Amino acid sequence: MADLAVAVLIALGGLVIISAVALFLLKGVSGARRRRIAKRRARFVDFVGELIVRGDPGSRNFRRYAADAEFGSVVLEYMRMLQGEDRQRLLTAARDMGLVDRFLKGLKSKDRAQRVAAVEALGEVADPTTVTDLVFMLRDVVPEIRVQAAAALANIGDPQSVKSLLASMEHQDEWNAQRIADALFAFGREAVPEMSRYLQSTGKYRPLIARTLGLIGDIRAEGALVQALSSADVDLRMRAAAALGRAGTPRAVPSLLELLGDPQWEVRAQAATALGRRTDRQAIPWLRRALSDQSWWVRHNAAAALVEVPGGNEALRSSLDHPDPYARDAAAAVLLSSGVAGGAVEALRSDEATDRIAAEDLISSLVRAGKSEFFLVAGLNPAYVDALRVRA
Amino acid sequence: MNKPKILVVDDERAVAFLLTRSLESAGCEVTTVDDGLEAYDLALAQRFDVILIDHLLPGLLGQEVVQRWRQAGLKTPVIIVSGVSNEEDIVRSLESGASDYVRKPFSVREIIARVKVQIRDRPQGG
Repeated sequence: MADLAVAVLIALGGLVIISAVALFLLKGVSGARRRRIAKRRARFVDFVGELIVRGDPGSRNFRRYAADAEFGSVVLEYMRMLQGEDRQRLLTAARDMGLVDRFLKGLKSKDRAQRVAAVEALGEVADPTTVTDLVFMLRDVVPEIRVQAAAALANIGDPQSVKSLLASMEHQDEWNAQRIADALFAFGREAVPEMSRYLQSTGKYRPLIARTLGLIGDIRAEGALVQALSSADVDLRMRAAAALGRAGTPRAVPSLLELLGDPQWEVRAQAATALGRRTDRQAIPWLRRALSDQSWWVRHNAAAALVEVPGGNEALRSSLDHPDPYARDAAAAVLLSSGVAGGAVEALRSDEATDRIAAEDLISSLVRAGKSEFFLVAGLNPAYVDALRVRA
Repeated sequence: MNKPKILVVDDERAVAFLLTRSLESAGCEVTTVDDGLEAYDLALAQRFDVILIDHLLPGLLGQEVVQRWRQAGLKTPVIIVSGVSNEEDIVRSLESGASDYVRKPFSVREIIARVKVQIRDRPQGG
């Protein structure tokens, strides 16, 4: 029995020693490998740096190194760092060295990770000659690759690829479609004509494109956005209305005014906000009417829009006497939150009698609308606030 | 005529190499370090005409090093080179005492031009 125990102990001890030696060797090998890679990388950093400084892409060594993944990584690091002529020179060299071809070859790999790496690399290289290959990747079975391809195309910025990006959206889920819309946003103005055409199609993601057009804010989209306001698709009407707040001109105002009568409250609310952004005085009576809308959001957005429109503050002040209590409340809430009421408190100390009287009138109306607490918090004397209520 | 002496402070080997070689090609004498504290001591111990410093250095941010240099009375023009390009960061860097701010990605020609401007406009006897 004792012999067996000793044998087991010896075996365990041996195992521990063997494991320790193996671990030590593995660590040594791994460390040596890391050092080799670091040394190789340092050499590549110097080579590519010299290439950029001296503008000499003719070295044969570079062609040999192009097959090395570490070399590709160093070239990409320099590309991220550079712009202008230096970057262009490096791009030309990367082509000459066969590095771009190596990344293109990676697109055809059966290995998903290699395809992802190749698409990412091509996105950083941003070589216009790779557009067709990247467009092809918009149909890859892996969603991540499709999204990376879209981002790569945006980096290159060739407007010819916008149509392909829009077409590829049709087969994506909402998350991916949003990422592609982000890529289209990155194109900016260049993408607007094609995106406007898409808006007039039956495309599945027209609301998303309308939103993106609004973010880009180019008035060339106005016609397509106005047309989208009469769509049967509620989401599209809503997004188009919101977009016209940023990408519209005074020409969009009549259509937005009409939209204040839309059967859907979400659409009316966005139309009100967009009218505030357009700052057109003709919207004032319409927005004032919208203060009596059955939806709280529409009332609130209409009141907020009135603050933006020149002359709108007067309409809001007069709405404090509106027969509809909801309209009064919407107007009062926005006058308080937008700083107008705070300005009136300041104006009480004005040297100008007319300013003081106007301020007292406004405060009096707001007190009557049940907002006396705001003025008490602002430091006005309670007796004075009461007096204003009595005056009212 | 003496070569302008430039101190490059960057922990990224590629950036440091590119700046060093480009400035050398432009006729400058370049010293490179990759650490903010080492750069702090070196700039106080030796005379440089311009300092190029990365914003994100290990241990100490570029703008913190600049701030310490200014507190120590160093008047050498300092250009911060940074991949961070938000407005607040640029303002903070300039307020810390930096003379200029270059965003990555950059153009080598532009950096050299900016260095030359600092040498040209440098206060005499600083």
